[in-house]
Amino acid sequence: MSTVIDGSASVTINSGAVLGITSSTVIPTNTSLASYEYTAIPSWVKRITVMFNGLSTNGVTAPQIQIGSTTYVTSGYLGAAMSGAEVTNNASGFLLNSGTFIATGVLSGGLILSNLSGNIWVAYGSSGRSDIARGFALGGVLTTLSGALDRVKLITVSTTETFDAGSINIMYEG
Amino acid sequence: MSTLVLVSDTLITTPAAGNLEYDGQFFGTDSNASRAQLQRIVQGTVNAGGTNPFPASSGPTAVDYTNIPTWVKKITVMFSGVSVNLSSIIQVQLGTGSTTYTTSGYLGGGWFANTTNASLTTGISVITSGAGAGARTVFGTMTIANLTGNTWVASATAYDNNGSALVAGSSIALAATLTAVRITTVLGTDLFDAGSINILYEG
Repeated sequence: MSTVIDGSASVTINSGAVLGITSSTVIPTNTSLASYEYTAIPSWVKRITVMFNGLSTNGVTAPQIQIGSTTYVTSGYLGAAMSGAEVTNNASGFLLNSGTFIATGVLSGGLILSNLSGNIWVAYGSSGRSDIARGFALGGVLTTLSGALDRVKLITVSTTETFDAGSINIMYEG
Repeated sequence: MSTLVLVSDTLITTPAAGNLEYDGQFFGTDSNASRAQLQRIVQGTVNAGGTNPFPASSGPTAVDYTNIPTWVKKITVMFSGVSVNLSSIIQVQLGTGSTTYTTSGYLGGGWFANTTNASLTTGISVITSGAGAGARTVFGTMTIANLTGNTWVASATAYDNNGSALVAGSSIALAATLTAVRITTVLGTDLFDAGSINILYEG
């Protein structure tokens, strides 16, 4: 028996979910903005892979990922980034590296956001800096999202520093 | 045998409480070369078809997974008790065409042995030095995800039997479509002498 669906790259089931991995559009992060975001993420999504490639900023605070439902959640994240003995907690988002950052820093890696239940999202991943020898373990949870996740934002802890190199993309699945 | 062929854009609907269930493969396009197996994870062959687990003194210097389909968006490399016989860092290299492995240009770093950091441009690092035959055996996974086009981003977390956590992140812009994954060492001559490796891929 064979099933061939011709003319569409996806199958839509009754919940609206698309089977398979959906890639978003890559965003260059070299345009001196303080944040880059993906909105209109479908409500059926259960896992989001955030990919970041050669991120650099003009500042000294760590890049982080915030998620939201209509608006972004900027507090209440429980988690940390770790490299060796350096462990950094952060409540304003999921950190992409521990400690501080520097203007010459170059950061690459991935963060996977998984829906634990309801509106609770768990994050884990790892990253590495290529300007110096550093690797980072990343993890956390956000339990206070008010509704279905519909957006993901890259921003620094300071929220004001700007990105001047690299790119970001997400892929999601449900 | 029955065949269901749906042409043009097609919406498959079920009753409100129904399920769409099929224990097979859904293909997304009419091109064999670019067919995506929807919501289907494909598993490779452990140790790429070589001896499993790796033999103590005659294992390979590299484990190659080739013919990876063009529709793949995410690859998971799994390590279970993997060791090398000398002291070189295990790394993963991505290949294109049939088959040229990219050996430079990786942007990344790793942290291992709970104390030591390293950067690596020749591949995506997995772990620390092997520290001699069987001295460190590695358990963990690496996820390699397509950022866009031929740019791939990797993250890895693992553990070795010396009680060390191992983490790494990296990215690479390939010159062409990814077709292969190689697990090898930085030195390139160390032998895998214990454990098992396999990959999963999905699109």
